[in-house]
Amino acid sequence: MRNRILAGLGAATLATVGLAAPANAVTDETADVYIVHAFPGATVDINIASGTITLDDVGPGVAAGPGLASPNVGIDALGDLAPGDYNVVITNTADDSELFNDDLSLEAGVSYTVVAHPTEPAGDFTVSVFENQLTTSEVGNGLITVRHTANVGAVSVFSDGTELAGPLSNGDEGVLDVAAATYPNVYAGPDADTPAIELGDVTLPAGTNILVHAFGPDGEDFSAVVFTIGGLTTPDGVPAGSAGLVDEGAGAGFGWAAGGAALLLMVLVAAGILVRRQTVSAQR
Amino acid sequence: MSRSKGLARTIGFTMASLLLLSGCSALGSSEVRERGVSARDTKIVLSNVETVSTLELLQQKTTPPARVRMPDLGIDMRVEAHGIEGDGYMSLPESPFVAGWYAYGSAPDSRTGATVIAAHVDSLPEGIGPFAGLRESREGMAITVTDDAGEVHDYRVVSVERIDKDEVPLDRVFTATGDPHLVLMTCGGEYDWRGAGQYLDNYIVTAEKVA
Repeated sequence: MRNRILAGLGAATLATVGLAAPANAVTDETADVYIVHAFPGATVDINIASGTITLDDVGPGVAAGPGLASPNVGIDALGDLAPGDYNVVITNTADDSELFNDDLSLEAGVSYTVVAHPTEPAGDFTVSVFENQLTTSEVGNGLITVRHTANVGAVSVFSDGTELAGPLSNGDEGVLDVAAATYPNVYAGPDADTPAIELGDVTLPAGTNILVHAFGPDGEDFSAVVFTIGGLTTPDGVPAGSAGLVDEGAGAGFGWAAGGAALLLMVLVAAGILVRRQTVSAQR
Repeated sequence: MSRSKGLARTIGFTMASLLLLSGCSALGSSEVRERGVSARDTKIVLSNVETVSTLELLQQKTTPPARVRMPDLGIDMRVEAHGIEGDGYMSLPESPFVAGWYAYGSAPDSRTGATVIAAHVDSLPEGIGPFAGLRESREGMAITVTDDAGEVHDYRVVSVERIDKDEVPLDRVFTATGDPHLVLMTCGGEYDWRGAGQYLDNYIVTAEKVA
């Protein structure tokens, strides 16, 4: 076994300092769940699997999930979930009235977003479950996932007047698999001349999925709830040496290592002689 | 629910106004992770979480690292951005005297995740590069990364590992999650003279961000 921990305690140490997090991509055996609260005006309590996971006082605009950091809410317990059915109950914090009660079926290897949002046009509380795409068509690409979760008619997504996705109706999503770049003046609206939700210049890093959830109306305003999933592209390895000049193998036997071994032997012999001489002089 | 809110106020936990009442240890930590929701009870109270700012995530830019220094080992190298080769492996500067930053991952000023900087340990004809010194890394050693904007990011070594290339936990090394941290990588261990002409192991130095 060549694997050695030379300092620290490896993975255990990394875990205690919070650095042993896995890549953000879900494992083959488990499921990840992100929660987005895009229903304006109601703070809710979320109870998953009969109280095993409870999130209290979740305000509109919250995005929570495994590996997330401020301004989102990181909740490790929502990652690495065993596949199966999880009962989800959402109640209004103010009066404990039940807004949603249904089973969420999780499959292994899938990353989900559970979004609470208004229907269109009635504006009733509803929950949509989306699967998060975790692969790009090309290395160097990122994803922009746009989800229509507002109480407004169909919209398309534009950048500087050029349509990127759409039209999307309430409950729909569009996934843009595009090169990492800054997309100027991105907005959603019924047409290019009517921006309803303005997102500004969107910077998309490679290997990252930016998930945008339309939010509103909150009063008369529309906005979006955003979180990101990074780590979509991980290399297969790091081949970081080519010449064998610092071979640490025992008995590599040939090439540069042979010279190194000979040198080492000479040093050892020299050291041995020195030690013996000291011993002799100490006896006298 | 009002009881929980009161408790949150009492404790005065203000970071994102987020309170963990029971269950797993600390947010962002993967200590004692158990599979399956049935294994642990988690109760989290969120109050006054600033959410308007999630829109800021759309504009989040990161700054590439420009230089990596490890004074204890005499490492002081230029860093350039690199990605993935056609064969799926991380691409690296040909010279072992220049380090490569994995540009499809986190940067030193990212909110989360690993900034991965790797370099060849040696090459012909240039000889042995500075990252050969990584095998002498010890816990607590200081590393600084200066980014393209001149900002200096300070790190402290928390772990040094030598791992068979076939067993390197790439998901962990290249993670986009967890506290911002630095990973320095190079090759080492036995050199496969008869086979593929490569080292069999990777040295992986992980450092937490201290400033």
